[in-house]
Amino acid sequence: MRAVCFVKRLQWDLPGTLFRHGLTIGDVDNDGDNELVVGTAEGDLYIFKGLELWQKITGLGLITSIAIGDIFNYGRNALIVICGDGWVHIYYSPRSVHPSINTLQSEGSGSDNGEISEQHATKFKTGTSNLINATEFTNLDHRININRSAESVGKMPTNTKIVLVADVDKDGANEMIIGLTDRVVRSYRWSSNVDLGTGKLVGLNKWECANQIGTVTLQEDSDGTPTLLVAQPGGTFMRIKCNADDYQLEEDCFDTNSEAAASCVDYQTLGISRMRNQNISTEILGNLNPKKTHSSNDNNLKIGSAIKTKYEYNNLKYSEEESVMVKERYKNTSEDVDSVDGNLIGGNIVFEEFDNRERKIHYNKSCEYSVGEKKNANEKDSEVKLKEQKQQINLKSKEEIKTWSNTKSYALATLDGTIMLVKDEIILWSMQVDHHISALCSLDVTGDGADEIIACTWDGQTYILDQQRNSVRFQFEEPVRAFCAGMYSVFPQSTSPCLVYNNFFNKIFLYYDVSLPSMVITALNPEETLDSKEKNLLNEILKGKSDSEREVQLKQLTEWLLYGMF
Amino acid sequence: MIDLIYGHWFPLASQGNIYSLATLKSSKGCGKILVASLKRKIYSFEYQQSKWILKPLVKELVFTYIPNGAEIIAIDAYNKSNIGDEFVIGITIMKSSGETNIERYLNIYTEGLSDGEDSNSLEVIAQNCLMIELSYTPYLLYHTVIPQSSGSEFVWLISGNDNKIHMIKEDKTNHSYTESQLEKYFPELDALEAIALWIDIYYYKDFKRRITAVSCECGLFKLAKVNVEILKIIQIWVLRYDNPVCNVRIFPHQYEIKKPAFIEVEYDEKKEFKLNVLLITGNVTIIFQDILNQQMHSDIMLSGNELTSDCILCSCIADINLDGKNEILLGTYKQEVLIFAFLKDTWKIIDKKHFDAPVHSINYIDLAGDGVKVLVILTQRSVHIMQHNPKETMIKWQDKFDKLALLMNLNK
Repeated sequence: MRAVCFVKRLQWDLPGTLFRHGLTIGDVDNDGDNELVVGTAEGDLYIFKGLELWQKITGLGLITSIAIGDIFNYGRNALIVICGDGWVHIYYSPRSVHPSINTLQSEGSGSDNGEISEQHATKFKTGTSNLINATEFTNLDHRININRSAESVGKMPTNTKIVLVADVDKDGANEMIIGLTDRVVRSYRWSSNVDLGTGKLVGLNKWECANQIGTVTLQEDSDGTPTLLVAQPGGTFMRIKCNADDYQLEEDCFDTNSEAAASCVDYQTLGISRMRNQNISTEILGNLNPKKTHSSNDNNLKIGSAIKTKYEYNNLKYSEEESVMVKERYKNTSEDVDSVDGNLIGGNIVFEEFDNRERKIHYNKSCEYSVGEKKNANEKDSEVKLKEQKQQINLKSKEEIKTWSNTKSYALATLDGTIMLVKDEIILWSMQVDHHISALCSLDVTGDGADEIIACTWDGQTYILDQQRNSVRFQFEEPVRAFCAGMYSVFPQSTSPCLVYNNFFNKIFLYYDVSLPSMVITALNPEETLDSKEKNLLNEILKGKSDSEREVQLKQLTEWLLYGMF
Repeated sequence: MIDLIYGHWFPLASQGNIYSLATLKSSKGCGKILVASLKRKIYSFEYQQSKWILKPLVKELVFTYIPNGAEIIAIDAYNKSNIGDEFVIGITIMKSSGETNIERYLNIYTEGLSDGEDSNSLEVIAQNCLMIELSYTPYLLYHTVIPQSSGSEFVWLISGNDNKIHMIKEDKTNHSYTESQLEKYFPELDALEAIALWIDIYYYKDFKRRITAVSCECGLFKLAKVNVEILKIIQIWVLRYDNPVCNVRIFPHQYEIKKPAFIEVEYDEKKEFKLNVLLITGNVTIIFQDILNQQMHSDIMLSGNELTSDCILCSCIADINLDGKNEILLGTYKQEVLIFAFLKDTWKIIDKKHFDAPVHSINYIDLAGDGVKVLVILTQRSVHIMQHNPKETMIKWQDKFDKLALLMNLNK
């Protein structure tokens, strides 16, 4: 495997222990540059900006996870810090505050339904940030006026391991999703008052998983519907499809049943999962951006358009049959769950834990989605096979499906070193590495718009994989406690892909500019880029008869052109 | 800026030194590199090619007759044949046996007698060893040629701590290597009275003349112009510096690349032939320009902030920016490679590259067999293979190709 060595790095001391999701990269102060935020188990929050530590906030308790996102739904990022004591601290920079006034709003209230945590919303940077030296703010006291109400503390779960800020129900507003260590995923929404910074977090949903949660990630369906993927042990995952309409009654009745019913849930055991250790912990990473220009090679382009229409037609035709089939499938499922595990079409387990009637409907929906998709794909395959006998259909058609459906692919990795790229529940490829994978991130290191998968192992080996399974390895020399990747602004007004490692010796290493022009290395192939006229000329020049002779001559020509002729 | 991208990187089990990198230039195309680390591990690196995609391949080679506990001092290699591949690899090792006694050997690996198909693979060569015990601790292991009427013969030169340079020559009748008298072949290197750290020998005028440069630990620097046919020293210069002179290179302003015979175009290949000498001592780099005409009178000291505080360990002469003129690459202890180009009658730093550890050795060689060279950097901890960005190279190729097309049209 190709390996690279990155040497541009920043290094900071970080006394304290980090949780796995205790660090993230994002634009905290809304100045367009991305910062690195790190929270330790000792309750210290560090914000690194550019080359140095920019802010340090202490006394937060046990920070378990951090997210940066527009939780207030007002177009600007806030920093969400979740602590092991059940407190959520949200830091934000108010939009319309004069720089010289250090206003600070904080609000903590126990609400009727109680799903509220205390927040101290603190301003640490103001709107006209460009004018202000960042260091001025580092000495500010950010923690003023904290209201704590006893009952509110208890209501927020104390065992959060991962937090996500995303719009999961397609209502245009962001939710906060937390994954807990006791197999529960919850979602919250910020319900704001007129004043910015006052408001409360309202609980929306609660889902219970069958097993321990690895990571939670957002994944968009082919139609753009956001879903949540929750990694489950053994390379499986649970898909949660939220529906905005289900929230309407939220405020009135707030019992767990209606909460749980508010969306449909299905379990996916990908085809090969049976072979593996069922208890191995899993990471999942959704929403991998594909390459902008999708036609990977010319051949596909030509047949592409013709087939495309066929697909659409097929799709319509099959969708009806599908629903019937799915229903049958569902019946089987409820009778004998085990037998479904080895489902030939990607393994689609339907799982039930709550209300039966409710679920039935949802199952049909979700199955229709997942099984249907796959069925379609398979059927289409065979359809194309008939039509396009000359082509090596299997691969091609898969390629075509890729272009046809705009579903994004997602990646799974298990601790034992398996990395899979999955799309529409079809495993596009999987590969095995001989190190224990601890973290999975996406990052565009090639700058072509497509996300690469970054898999970091406990001993520091970092694998960079593109979606075509080309891989590059980078070795961080020490064992890794926590890892994240993202676009960080080492210098103002610019971002570069970065890898951030926290080792076991209380240091943070940030490798910046980790870009690779391409994932594969190639020899110089002049014939590829020449136009036909030039090719003819080249053929004229190279007088060799056999291919090997010509190859040698081409090499000599290249050498002479580059190093000899001036 | 010189746009280099990573081809590959691999770590070493133990550190090497400035003599730990050797290249194998194959006449067929793809080159290979050999890297030795102190504690006996020797790696080879090559590219495997499938269509135009290159796959890096690192192999650990097991050379025979390197006993346990031995340490590798230097590795060097050459290709005996002009048309095929007949690699000869030399490795000097040192092993302490007992408290006071140190054994030192030069192991020469060469292809076996059997003319099987694989007799030239490195694995086979590594099993075929000729051992020569040395009575001194070897430093540099260098190879050069002795021009003879029947064709050039390769010889090894080893500098030892006995303040001498030793020449090891193949004894073809006995199929062995023996030490020959140095003054019969290299009178300018005889009676050096110092430990040589680096030697460079440059033949010109069709092997009728040569320039020999030798730099020593005591700060001595010797440059000699020799008439090869009658083995007479035409001129000799001696300079002394305060610090050890760790590296010396003789290089022309531009390397001459012959126009391939199959290209039927008239192209004026005559260029000014100027020989320069590069000398590195401590953090000072000096270039004696055009020594054939101006002797040692035109010297330039490379300047730049980067150089004042840093020890330079190695150098490489390469046309790294593909402009037809040679650039100077300096590898420093401060983990950098500094690139100097000759611009407007003076040497200016044009780029620097940062690495993970002190830079021990640099080479510029065609590994992919496509005519484009790659930069090989040996640092204290690892080996870096840096490629030219193929996109930029292709643009340059296209430019030149257009130029060639123009020339061809003119000729018609």
